[in-house]
Amino acid sequence: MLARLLLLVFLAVPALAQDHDMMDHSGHNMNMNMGDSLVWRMPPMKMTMPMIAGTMDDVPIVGPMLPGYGMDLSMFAEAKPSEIFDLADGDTLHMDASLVRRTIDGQEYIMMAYGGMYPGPLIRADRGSKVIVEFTNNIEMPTTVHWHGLRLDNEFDGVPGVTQDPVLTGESFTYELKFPDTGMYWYHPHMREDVQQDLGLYGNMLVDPTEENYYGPSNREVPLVFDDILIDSSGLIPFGDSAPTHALMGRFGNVLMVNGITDYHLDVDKGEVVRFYLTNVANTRTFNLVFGGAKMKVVAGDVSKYEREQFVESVVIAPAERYIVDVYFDEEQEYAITNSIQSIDHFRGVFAPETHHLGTIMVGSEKAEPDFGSQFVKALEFEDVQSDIADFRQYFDKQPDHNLRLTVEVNDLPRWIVMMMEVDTLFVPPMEWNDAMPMMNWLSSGEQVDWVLLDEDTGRKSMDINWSWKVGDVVKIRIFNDPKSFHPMNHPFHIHGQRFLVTEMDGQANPNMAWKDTQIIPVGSTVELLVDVTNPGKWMAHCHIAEHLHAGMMLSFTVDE
Amino acid sequence: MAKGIGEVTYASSPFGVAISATGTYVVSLNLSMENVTLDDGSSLVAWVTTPQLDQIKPLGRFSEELRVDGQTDWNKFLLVVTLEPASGDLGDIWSGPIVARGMSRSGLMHTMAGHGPFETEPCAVYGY
Repeated sequence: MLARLLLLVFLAVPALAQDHDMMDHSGHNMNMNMGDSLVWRMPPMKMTMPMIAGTMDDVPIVGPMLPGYGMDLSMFAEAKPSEIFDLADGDTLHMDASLVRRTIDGQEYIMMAYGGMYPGPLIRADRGSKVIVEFTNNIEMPTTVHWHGLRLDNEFDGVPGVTQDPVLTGESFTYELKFPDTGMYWYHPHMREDVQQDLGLYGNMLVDPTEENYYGPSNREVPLVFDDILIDSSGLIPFGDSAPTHALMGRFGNVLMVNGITDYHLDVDKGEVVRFYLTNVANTRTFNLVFGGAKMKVVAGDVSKYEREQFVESVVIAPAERYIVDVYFDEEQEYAITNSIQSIDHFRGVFAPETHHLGTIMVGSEKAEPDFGSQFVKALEFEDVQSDIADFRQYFDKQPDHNLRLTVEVNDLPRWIVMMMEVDTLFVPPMEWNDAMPMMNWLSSGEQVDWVLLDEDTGRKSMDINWSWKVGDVVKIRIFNDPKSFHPMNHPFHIHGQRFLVTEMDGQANPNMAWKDTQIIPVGSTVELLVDVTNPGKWMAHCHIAEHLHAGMMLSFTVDE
Repeated sequence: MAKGIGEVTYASSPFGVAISATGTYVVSLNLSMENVTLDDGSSLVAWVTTPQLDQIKPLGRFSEELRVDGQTDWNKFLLVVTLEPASGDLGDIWSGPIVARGMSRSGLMHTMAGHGPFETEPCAVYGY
């Protein structure tokens, strides 16, 4: 529960952000060497809070790095928009990771891509099939590929040091993928995700159902991948070389993209029901997506359909989550896809609405054929999902097998940052929608911030935790996001290789469940996950904010046969 | 002495956290009172309002068990319990005396100017 207080006193409630149009501070630090060496420059930020004297020249304690820095742009092939690869059972896909040239808002950058595409190739396969991906690393950093959400064999999960060695530059690795669950999944690196994923290494896997009429009817299917990137007039803002910067809140970008572009556009006919497959691949940004007021219902989450379709006004999607939504465009007009949030000016203590335009859907006069409008208005019940979940209801009231507290420890942060954090404690927003403290965030590195998963029963922290389960177990994990930590923040918690239900949040039973692999844990909330343990091996669970992961927010668990 | 408790939780959402199309949190409100003696013909009514009192919405009359539920999607809000007639239209604003009130934690948020290094006197003096 968020709050339970005497009525005469206070009631607690949740709410942070930064203006999308930020001032450009490139070259602000006049003491820096502006020669050929890569040097730090302050990221663009809106100065809503007065700065303490003497802090404007501060830079992160880690050195700057930017893959491809100093190289000739013309050396690199231009990245192409993503293509769909329909794979049959037993097919092989050859795919590499490489440096590419990408154009964003008319400006060219050296970035990364799978298969030379942005997003990476969309792998489409039937549920129950198996395919091979022959992967080659052609970037200048070691990497692996993690197949997010797939309950595949452990040895192909892509976690360095756990399931495989890193794939070094020029080397290859063969991944065998299997698709036991229908839905939308994605793949991405599991090494320095803050860099590689941010620069474009991500792609989708769409697993089609083998059953007839698995979903309700739709006129077309469209994958949408949401991301952001931090750039200024001089180019990409460098990353930390030995550890990530932005360790407190994660790297929020100032340019938001859909499918890798800033001007996404889709033309549809009047009356079309469009099935959107939504994936959030941003390092840290949670989106609140609105489709211009069009009628919309959520059909499925990460790993399954919901028990029933549910009409919604917006979609809250955290990093690494996926949702399938059906949207009905019944009016001939332009619909804007927006990220609609409420930022917080902590210095002035006020909320301010912010709307980021992400794309446009233009509905023409031609009528959709066939017309599914009359079917769309009914929220379908999915008895297959209800029946599957029914087998697990006996465990809903069990005591937690594990109690996890989300917290953070810091060391050697600049004193002024610590002071500012200690001042601003009156209201801690449950969700951070934007970078509310860009200077402090930028200066915090993974060497100074340790994000912690604390096992309350054993006292073990993060990678000192290795839970032991067996195939067939049904494990309840209770997760509490401590609002009294130094810098509380929402965390998208991800479990590899298994699926789970969110049975309860803040003491309230979940009335409409879907199987998931990633779940938002807001600040101050207690969330209960029920894990269906089916997949043997050693696996990871972690916060999917890239900078938090690389600042230690992970644990392991082993599943025995 | 009469007292009350307000419980604030997220409204039900398939995404875990309930957010409106304008980005505000959507919360469920559950109020309860105890040690209350009401005269015949009187009832307790709960209202939700902004701290500036520029928008007011009735949540409803407390039940015989002295409980009432409601919902709001305002960023900052104040819950007010008033003594009203036991029947009839509640109207747009309370007419009876206020018997209890509570501010959302977000409502406590105010300017940092004057705090920490800038503080000239503590907010607690003013009830924050």
